[in-house]
Amino acid sequence: MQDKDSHKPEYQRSAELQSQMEKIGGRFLDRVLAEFDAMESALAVLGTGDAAALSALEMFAHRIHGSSAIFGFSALSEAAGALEALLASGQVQGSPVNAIPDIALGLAAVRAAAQAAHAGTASR
Amino acid sequence: MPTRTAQGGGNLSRRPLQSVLYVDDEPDIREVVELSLALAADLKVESCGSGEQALKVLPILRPDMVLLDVMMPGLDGPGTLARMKADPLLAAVPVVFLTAKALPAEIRRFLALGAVAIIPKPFDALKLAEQVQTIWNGLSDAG
Repeated sequence: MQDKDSHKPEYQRSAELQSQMEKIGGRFLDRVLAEFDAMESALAVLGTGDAAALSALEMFAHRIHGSSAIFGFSALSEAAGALEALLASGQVQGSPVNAIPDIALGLAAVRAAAQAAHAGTASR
Repeated sequence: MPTRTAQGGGNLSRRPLQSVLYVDDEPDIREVVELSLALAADLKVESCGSGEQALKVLPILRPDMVLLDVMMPGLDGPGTLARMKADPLLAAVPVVFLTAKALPAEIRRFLALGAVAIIPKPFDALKLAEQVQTIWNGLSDAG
């Protein structure tokens, strides 16, 4: 693909990249939305002291925080960043059980932002 | 946020950047990076989804540079870099971290581990190829 495309003007290649990114961004949101059930399950067992559940939630929040902004989903990135910060905080690391209501709120905010972003891409 | 680079080190050749391996567990981001780097003519881009896979393909691909995600399941970016540094065949391959963990203390830690630069996420897909090329040129200038 590189050989075929390298003769194209830069603006044309940039426009094609933008277009491709919109498609990839849509797939990214589909993938994110499909993961919420697993994250709700992880949250449900957090109270048992399941370290893998906390790790799964942290990885999920981190991935969405870093990746969604690349596609321009800034509200989703911010919500995931807030959840990531909460999960990394002393409050959660010290006593996950007491933080479950806050984590649930954070996860719900991420889901709402993902759904809003998905609605936005669907209406393009 | 600008790219952070280490002073000196890395591959000191002055030839053009020809090949890059990108390592990230997120398939959508791998696709974006491949497309972004394809904006640079004559740059061959390969990607894989884990540190373990990277260590398997690196001796075969022998890329000029490796771009590593930091937080991955299994062997993470810093762990992959440590294994590369312990392998005489791979120790000199310049490694750049792409990460959302780009706070100053973390950047210092990554550079101390041997990374030549850190590109913060989110990156601008339209400028990534230029950023990578600039890092490569900086390594060459250092030589």
